Amino acid sequence: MIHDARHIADGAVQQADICIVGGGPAGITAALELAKSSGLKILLLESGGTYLEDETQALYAGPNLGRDYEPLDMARLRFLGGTSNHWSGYCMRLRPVDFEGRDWVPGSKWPISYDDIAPYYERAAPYVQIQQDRSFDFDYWVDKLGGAPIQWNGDLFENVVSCTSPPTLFGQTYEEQLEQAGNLTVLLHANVLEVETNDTAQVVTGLRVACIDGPQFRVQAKSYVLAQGGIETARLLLLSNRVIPAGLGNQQDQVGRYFADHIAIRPALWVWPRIPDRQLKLYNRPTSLDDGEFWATVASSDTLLRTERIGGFRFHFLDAPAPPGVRSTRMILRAARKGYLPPYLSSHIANIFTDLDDVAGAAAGKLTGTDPLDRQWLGPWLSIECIPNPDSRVLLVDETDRFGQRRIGLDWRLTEHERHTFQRATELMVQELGRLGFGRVWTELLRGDFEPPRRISKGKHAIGTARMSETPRTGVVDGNCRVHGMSNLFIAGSAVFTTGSYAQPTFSIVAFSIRLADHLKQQHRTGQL
Amino acid sequence: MNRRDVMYGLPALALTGTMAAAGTDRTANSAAQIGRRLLLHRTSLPDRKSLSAQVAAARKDGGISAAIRSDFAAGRVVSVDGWIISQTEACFCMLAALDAGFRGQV
Repeated sequence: MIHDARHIADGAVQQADICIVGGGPAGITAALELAKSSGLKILLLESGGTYLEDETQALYAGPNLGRDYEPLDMARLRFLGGTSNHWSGYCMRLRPVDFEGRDWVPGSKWPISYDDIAPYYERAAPYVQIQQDRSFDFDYWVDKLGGAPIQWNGDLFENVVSCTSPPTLFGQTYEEQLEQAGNLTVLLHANVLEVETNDTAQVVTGLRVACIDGPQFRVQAKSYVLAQGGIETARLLLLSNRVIPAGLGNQQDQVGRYFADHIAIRPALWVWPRIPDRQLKLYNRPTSLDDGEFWATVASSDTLLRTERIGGFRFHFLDAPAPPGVRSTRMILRAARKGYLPPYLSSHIANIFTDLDDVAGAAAGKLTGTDPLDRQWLGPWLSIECIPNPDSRVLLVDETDRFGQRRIGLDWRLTEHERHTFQRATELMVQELGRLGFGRVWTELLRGDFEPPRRISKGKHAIGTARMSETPRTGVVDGNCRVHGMSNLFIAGSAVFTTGSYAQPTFSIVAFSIRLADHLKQQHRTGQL
Repeated sequence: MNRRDVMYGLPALALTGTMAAAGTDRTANSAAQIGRRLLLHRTSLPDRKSLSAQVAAARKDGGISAAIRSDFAAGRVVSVDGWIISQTEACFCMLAALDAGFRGQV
């Protein structure tokens, strides 16, 4: 059933066995899984309605205090389906190496291993509507599609599958199932203002909920799941400070820290390729399947990540939109129009003068409609994992929203590790392309003074703000996603990821939600919750 | 130097292994252009004999193409205005520049 919370009587108390806060991929998956043959009464609270409403979306606003980031009320969406409503749909799995500790990254070891999550990926596949026939078996699909894999040095790179979801808009796609589940109620326009606890802050006793210009009410359940995304989950924990002034789960000052995203340089290098089409066709565009798409992606190998101080990374071999010299010309012209000089000006000038044939070709193309030098360039995109950094964080600011709740600010930071990962990944790719005789490469990432651009491409993946850890000293939740020191408060979503991996998070978010739902069902069945 | 210098010049070198055998003025000119850029970034002119010896060794051990690939695999690469070329190719190009009369500004 789906109801509008604005019709609930002011001061009412809603009862459930399990209450989930947040109707995005994490919350909807958990709700549907929990409702399946469990007999449990599930309540899902969603702040928005079934489409974008400005006044609700405005609750997401907050300042960027560190590096440039998307405005926080644009980086995520606050209505049923959550941020899946602007998801691009790319699905990859975390890697075994992601769960292992790295001695040069404090607190990087997860309290679980890859084997703990692996079985749930199979169950997650239908939720994101990707093809389910050996979804991530690279060799199987290459054979089936009649191509040939590139034989990278396996100590450096490996070929992995990126599956494409339609993408699944979780609100639209699952609205009917949510409506029809007899033991599941969705309340729209229900904004959770506070998680209330007992005097020791070990047990959640209820949620304080309010509607915009509407009633206020409470929710009581046996257990609670926060699934509001990496920024808002931390905000609610920090706002719930009646018993512990620092906020729930935050006795060790861990909530909100380790904020990470995936960042990318698009493209990182230009390649005039001599790659046989039988191989290239798998990499430079997705291949449509009956369900979704297959896209060969080149990623850091587990061996590389175990032997070097480097973050995970992946290359997508897209065609370049323009040759390097044409791009430099455009960048200089664009900057001149706006009255500033682009970074690496001398490099761009050199680039134009060393690419006069392409620049001339493009100019001729503008005049005649045909570029006499028209040719294919590859411009691989490089996306990397950001290394967990406690100083990269979200935190409450003094500004408040319409409910009088303090807003969240994002102090996003990168470190030397990210610069190194970009450069080393590019260096290795250049070497491998040369070793294989696959073409000449031009890049500016290997300059000695290279720095990641101020405005860098981001995945808008909020990761790590309530990370999983063995102890509360290094994180917020345990291996079962239960908040350390609390008996009945759980967190779903990428907030719990201890490290970020190179993989996009949505598919893993769904897998983790299924795992959490199984755990909660078992706990309720055995009377432990 | 333009893209064609790099695209056409170096593969021809890799195939033929010598400037003379590379055959066309265009290839030799391309290599010399690249060589000049490399030499301009050095603090002293390289020893011509040493460059020749490196090239000869590369030709002996499995051919130039293999040497170039081996350079890339081992990370023996240099950057010329953003282009990444192998050490063996760099030797060829510097030799070509010296043969073409490059004398200085190093």
